[in-house]
Amino acid sequence: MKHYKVVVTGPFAAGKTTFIKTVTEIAPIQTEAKTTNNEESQIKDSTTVAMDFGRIAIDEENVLHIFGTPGQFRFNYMWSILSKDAIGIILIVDSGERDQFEDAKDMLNFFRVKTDVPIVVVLNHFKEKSHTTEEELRTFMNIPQKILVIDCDATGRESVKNVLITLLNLIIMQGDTFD
Amino acid sequence: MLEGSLKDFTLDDLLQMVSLGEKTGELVLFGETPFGRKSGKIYFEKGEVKDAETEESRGEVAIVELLNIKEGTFRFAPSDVSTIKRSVQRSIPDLVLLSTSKLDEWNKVKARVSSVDVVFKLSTEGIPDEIHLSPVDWKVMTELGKGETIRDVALKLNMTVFDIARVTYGLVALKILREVGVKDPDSDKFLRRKSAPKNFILRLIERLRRI
Repeated sequence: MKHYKVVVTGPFAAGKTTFIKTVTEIAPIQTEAKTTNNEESQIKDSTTVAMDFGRIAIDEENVLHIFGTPGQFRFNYMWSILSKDAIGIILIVDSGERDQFEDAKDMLNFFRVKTDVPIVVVLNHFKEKSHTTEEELRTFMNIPQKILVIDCDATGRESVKNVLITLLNLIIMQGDTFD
Repeated sequence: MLEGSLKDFTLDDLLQMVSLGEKTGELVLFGETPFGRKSGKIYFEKGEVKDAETEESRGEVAIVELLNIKEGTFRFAPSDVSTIKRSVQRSIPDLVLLSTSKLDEWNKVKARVSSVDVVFKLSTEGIPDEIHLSPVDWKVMTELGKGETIRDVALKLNMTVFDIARVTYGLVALKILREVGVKDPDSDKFLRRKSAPKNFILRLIERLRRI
């Protein structure tokens, strides 16, 4: 069986697990633990501590694996492990959580240094407290024009599919495939 | 003659024995180093290192490479080394220290250059607007851009694999070179870095559209 990997990353509570749940064909495998950090537990009860896992199969022999990373910097050892041999990276940012843009910027720089595969930044507008535009996000995170920023609702299947298709087209355009 | 595995004798032990015994002869080494597989010779005269050679280098550079063999074999045979020109002036403890510091530097380089058998391709995606390259950088970039490995380029340009790897580190950091795979040094077979066939991606896009 041939399997290829896409990594979904982003700050705490950006919508990574939801993104994977929305598109995976199998029941997602999650490694959630109760949040113990006061600040984090006010946002949600549990958090990914190792990875999320989803899957899309073309047929029995060809499969795409989707791995979700933990969001917190203290789990960054998992970012390196999970991004090894990935063919593309999706970095999700919650449009309404401007406090987390600095973390997202650090994560983007981490993956730009650690990998040379295509990266897309996803601006997740689901249940946003306030709206952030692509240009605002580019300025906040200092995102170069060559990195795509895509609007998305992580709970909407069409929206999530659009992100994945955009990344896959980018992989072809950047010559990261072979005939 | 003394012969065996480096599992039983460390290189430090061997050097001490040759030095304390004030031996004259050649120590043949073969094994795995962080710079790739190495074989070479260290020539001793009355317990002092006189010269060293590997396939790619000579003198202290060769010593540094050979002293970093962690697993492998050795053979020490007494021989006449009077005709061999002295290329090493340092004492054995100094050479051990030098090899350790080079190893630290290599570990830093390894963050971007995983092996001396890596194959690269030239890239224009994401490179800075202005880059200044030295003539050596140009030579290394041109050769690596043809699909040669660091090991091949070292031989071709008569430089050490370490020096080529250090230049490569800078070119990869500037995103001028991108790793595309690795070449097996024995069979010359090219193994592609994990990337997907175009057909797989196109079929996956179709599959996603149908979900």
